[in-house]
Amino acid sequence: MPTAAVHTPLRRRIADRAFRPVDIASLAAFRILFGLVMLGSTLRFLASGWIEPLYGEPGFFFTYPGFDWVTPWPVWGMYLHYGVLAVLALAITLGAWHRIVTPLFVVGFAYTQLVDVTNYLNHHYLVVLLGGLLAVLPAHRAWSIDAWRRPALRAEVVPAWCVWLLRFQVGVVYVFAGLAKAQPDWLLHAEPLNIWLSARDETPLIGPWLDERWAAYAFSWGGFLYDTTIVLWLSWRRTRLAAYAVVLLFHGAVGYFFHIGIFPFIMTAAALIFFSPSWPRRLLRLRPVTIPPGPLAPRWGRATRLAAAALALHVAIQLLVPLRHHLYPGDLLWNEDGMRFAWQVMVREKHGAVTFIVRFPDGRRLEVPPRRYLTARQEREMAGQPDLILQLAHHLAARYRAAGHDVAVHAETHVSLNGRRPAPMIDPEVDLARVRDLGPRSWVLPAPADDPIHLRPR
Amino acid sequence: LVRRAGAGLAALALAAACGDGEARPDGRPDSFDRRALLRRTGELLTPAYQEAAARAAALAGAVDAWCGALGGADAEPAGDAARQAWRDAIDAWQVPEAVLIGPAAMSSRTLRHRIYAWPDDSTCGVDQTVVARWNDPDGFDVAALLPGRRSLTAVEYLLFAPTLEHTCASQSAPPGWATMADADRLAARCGLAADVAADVAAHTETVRAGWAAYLASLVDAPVAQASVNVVSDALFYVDAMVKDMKLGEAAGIVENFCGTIQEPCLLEVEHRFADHGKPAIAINLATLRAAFTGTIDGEPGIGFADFLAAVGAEALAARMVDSLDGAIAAVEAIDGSLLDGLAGDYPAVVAAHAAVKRLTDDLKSQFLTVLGLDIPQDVASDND
Repeated sequence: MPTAAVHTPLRRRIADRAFRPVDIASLAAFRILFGLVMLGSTLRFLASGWIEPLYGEPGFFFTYPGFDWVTPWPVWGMYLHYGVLAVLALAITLGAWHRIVTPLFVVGFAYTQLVDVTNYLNHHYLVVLLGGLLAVLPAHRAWSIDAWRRPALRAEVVPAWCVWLLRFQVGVVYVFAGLAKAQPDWLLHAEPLNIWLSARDETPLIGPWLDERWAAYAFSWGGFLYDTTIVLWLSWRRTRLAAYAVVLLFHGAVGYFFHIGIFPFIMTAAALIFFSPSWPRRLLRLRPVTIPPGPLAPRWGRATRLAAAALALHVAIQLLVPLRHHLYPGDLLWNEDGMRFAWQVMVREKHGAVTFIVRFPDGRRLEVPPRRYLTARQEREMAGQPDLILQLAHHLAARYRAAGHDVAVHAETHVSLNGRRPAPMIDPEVDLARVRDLGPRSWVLPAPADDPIHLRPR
Repeated sequence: LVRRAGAGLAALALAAACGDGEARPDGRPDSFDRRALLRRTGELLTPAYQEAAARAAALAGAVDAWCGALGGADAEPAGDAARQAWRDAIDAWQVPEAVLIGPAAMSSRTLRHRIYAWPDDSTCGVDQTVVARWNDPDGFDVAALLPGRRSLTAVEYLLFAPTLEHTCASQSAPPGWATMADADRLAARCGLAADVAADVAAHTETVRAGWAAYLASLVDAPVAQASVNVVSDALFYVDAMVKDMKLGEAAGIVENFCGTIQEPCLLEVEHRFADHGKPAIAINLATLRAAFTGTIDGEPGIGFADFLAAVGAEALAARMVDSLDGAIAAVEAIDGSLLDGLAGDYPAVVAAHAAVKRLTDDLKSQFLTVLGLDIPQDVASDND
């Protein structure tokens, strides 16, 4: 005899499951851990002395389309800004004024990234996304100052979709980071890991093996398999604990070998969301909550529907944006068209020399070394990213035109990708001053066809 | 499983512990020894710092002698001797300058600027200082001077300035200069040159004295790759200073202070008063070649080219050595001095700049990538 569920429409069944009550504990723990990691990260940033070189020294900042109005505070203001971020992160941890504090933190953190494109890091983007989701989720209804101050706010359960949403976001990072490694340099040539590991052959204990090619292949394939499958193992109850041990090992190793900042901390904290929603209570041996039967009936008002639509849109964007590079011709690692916001995490090693050539109408030419406008760090980042080269070219053109010279700006580039012989990346014949970064990047030359370098063990 | 994993780890630890740091796990000898490269860099720079200190001390003595001879029959030969001593001193300094590491490079290169501050130079500032010291020798303190008013740069101007006129605009003219007799102007310049030369000598000696300890810390650093990165950072002098400043800006190939385009900018010419720019570039490139190849005075040794070859980038190593030789030949091919070349053999200067650029294009790209090195002066930021 068919069950009642069989007759229930799929949409209804999904809705029932999405609104099934689950323990709020993992959501609250996520908030607390996120706040703690952000607090540590912000304090580390303040203590590292990075404010001045990142925000004070550059004479030019690369902007995102539509955000050229975002400019840095003076250096003292940036110190204050990061100080405020630290306070906000602490407030997130404590769950104080969550609905105000968390959005403020997200906006404040996003600002530090919008100031200069060369500040972009995948894990900083992840912070903005996770912070944004936390801001709309009821993560403050337990184990928070808000819940302590306002008893009416307290909750022991939340709809399951709240946990699903965070799992989805973390899963997106892993899966797309894994798919980004499904390319010949990574899988067939073990680059750039061969380059990176070879430089770390003085590592205690395992160092002497790190410059061996088999080690690079092992790390490359291990990383690929880890990223593409770890969500599966974390989602399956029988393998979850072992998978989390692998998470700790993997991110610990990555954090040890590479300057990757807070990424290991974020991911090891975030991966806990795949555990049972009650894991914090079990871990801390707290009284279990009673889960009410049946779904938590949503109040389907206009605001709720709008929120649901916004979340659906967010999910769609998260699934589509990392894939957008498939719409663009050419090699992603070379032209970087669709590289950002796509979880292309540590997939290439690129160094280049860029010289801008300013051509005057009378035929004279002048070379402009990027260091005249950029810090060493900005120059390094720009040298591998065509859109940033284009931005500085536009800036130079504007500067010379303001001085009354209708100049053309070309770029001589010599870029080495994953140890290949340097090749020109930008067409030196193209006047970049007249190029707009819309559509296919025809001004970017094709990627070199040769294989990446195969380093010999030293 | 746990026991097996433990046994594996123990075997791994034993294998690593039994190694002497030179042997590989499979018993093969290590094909490249970073510390040998660092020691070779020391063999290049240790005598260079000794020579620089000796030449700086000789310069101070020669300038003192010239000041003592002023007004006498020996003034001219003493002046010539002082000028030759300056040439010797700057030639000696241009060696470590090209691969600047150690005490002179620390604290934002404070000691380096004390010894040689170029391109920070202010001839008008020096003129004003000449008068200030002349008027109040007891209250004069070299240490209080701005970098552009001291160092070998100031000494060059004081020894080689073509006239006894000041170089300031009328509104900033040194007070009293117009009423000073030529003999007083000369004596005043000589007096300042002597003080500055003594200051240069003292600080070059400080650098020399601190070098040995620094070198030991570099060679014995826990992670030799980090020390190699320090040396590789220093190689980038050829990009920023030799290519862009000494050749590019001087020739108007690169944006310069004068605003000239494809025309010389004499204000940007290094050693324009002594007309000594070409030897300086030649010494820089020769030093870079020695550091890169490990070949010092014809004696082969371990250098970055060997490091590249050891990891399988022989083609890159050969190409960079070729580029280095090409750059050295191109500079040598400039007809006469750099000032002569800028005036009458401009295409040769442009060719020299292009030759150096061939080297730096590789230096900034594949060289860094293959050896897993970072760019110089990069803030230690995060990745991903």
